[in-house]
Amino acid sequence: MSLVIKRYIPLVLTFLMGIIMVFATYFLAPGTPEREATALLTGTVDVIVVTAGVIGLVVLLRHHTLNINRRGRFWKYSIITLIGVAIYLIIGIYGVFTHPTHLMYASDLFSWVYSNIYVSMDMTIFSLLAFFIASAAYRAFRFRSIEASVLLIVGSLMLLGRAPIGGVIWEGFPEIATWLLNVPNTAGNRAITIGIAIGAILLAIRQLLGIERGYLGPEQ
Amino acid sequence: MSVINEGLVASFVLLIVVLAEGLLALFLTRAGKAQPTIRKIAGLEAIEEAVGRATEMGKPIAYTTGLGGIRDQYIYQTIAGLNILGYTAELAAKYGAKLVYLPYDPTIMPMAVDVVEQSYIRAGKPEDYDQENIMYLGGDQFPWAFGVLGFTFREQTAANIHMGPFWAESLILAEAAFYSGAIQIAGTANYHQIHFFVVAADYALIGEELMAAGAYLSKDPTQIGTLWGADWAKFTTIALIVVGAILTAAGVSTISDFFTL
Repeated sequence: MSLVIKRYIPLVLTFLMGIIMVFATYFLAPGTPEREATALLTGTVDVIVVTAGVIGLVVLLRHHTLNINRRGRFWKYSIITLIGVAIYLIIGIYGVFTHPTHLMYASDLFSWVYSNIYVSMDMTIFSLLAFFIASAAYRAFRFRSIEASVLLIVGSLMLLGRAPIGGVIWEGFPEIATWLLNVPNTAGNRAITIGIAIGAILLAIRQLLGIERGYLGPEQ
Repeated sequence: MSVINEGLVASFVLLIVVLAEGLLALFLTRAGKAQPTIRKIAGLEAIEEAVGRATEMGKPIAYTTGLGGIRDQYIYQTIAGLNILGYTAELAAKYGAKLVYLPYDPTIMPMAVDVVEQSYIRAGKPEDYDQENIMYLGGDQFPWAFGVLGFTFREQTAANIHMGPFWAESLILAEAAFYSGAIQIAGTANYHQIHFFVVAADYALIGEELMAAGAYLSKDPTQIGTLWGADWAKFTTIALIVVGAILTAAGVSTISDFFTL
């Protein structure tokens, strides 16, 4: 029974849903009742997403509560995490209570916390990317092999072509950078994209036919 | 009136061509009429090395499947990442290494829990499976990325494996692992992030290699047969591009018109 539930039913559902969605995409015109009916199927995913969101919250709370109880590594940070989750949750629920007919209502306080605390911290992390790009480029841009040398030359030309100072030094740099971006870069990207598309179709085939079942866990 | 929705005729025809080639290669392989070989993919071969390193150092392996969830169009990459997670978890169970999976999207967690648990059972070490090693960090891009970065530095991970769809956080993850000294294997089919992994990771899976990983690691001839079919599809595509370019240059727009159908 366990094998039927864990393996065969998911495989049958995967096959049926896959075939229905492909059929709907190609043969059912958008806006028709039949196509809308298939959209209901994709809507069922939202039920899973909401449930999974609760699971995520429970797992997060459980992990940090256990870490505090065990006085695990960096347990003091777990307290900060729990306080952060609790405060934001209370602010969110309070906003809904003030507007009970609008479950997605974001109160002024909720929006303030989001805009002034969350977004600021989010952008701080994002801005680290600039430094990481510099350090990664420093390691990559070296004359150690033919490939690395090509990367160094092309990277340098792109930097000169895209930075304002490049055009001041020589007006040809922006044109070279544009050509590099539009011709060799696009050709490479399209080759990779075609390979990915074909690979994805055949991965889908292996999964729809139940040949590749790794995502269900290894066979016993 | 066309039976096929407007604008999708060429797409449907090409889908059928790729499917036919993939299925033909699959059936030929299954019938024993062909035995396609597959080239070595360094990134996948290196997983065993990474797990071995983690075992020797007594430090954990951090595994992520990127920012994909079950309701987005990148699910095929996430599924490919879960396939590799199963293989990695089984190796970790055999060697006694600690594998920590750090999901981004909670919808993936039930599948990941099942994949990891089954891997430990298959390796004959069900008692070593610890659900605490599937650690949810939050479902937003940069908080999650910083959670992985923090985990990497705090735990001084021996290996970081990233397989799935990644965006701007890819280089943050890759550089964090570099600075903490972890061996790093990364793969994505998001072409705008591949170069970050190629530059910063020790081993990178480029695009379709990620999709081929499940078949590659299974060593199942039937699955490998479909990779052979993918090669046929690529030859067909190249032929279409070459013939289309020649015909278009000669003023014949038959092929380019076909792609507008």
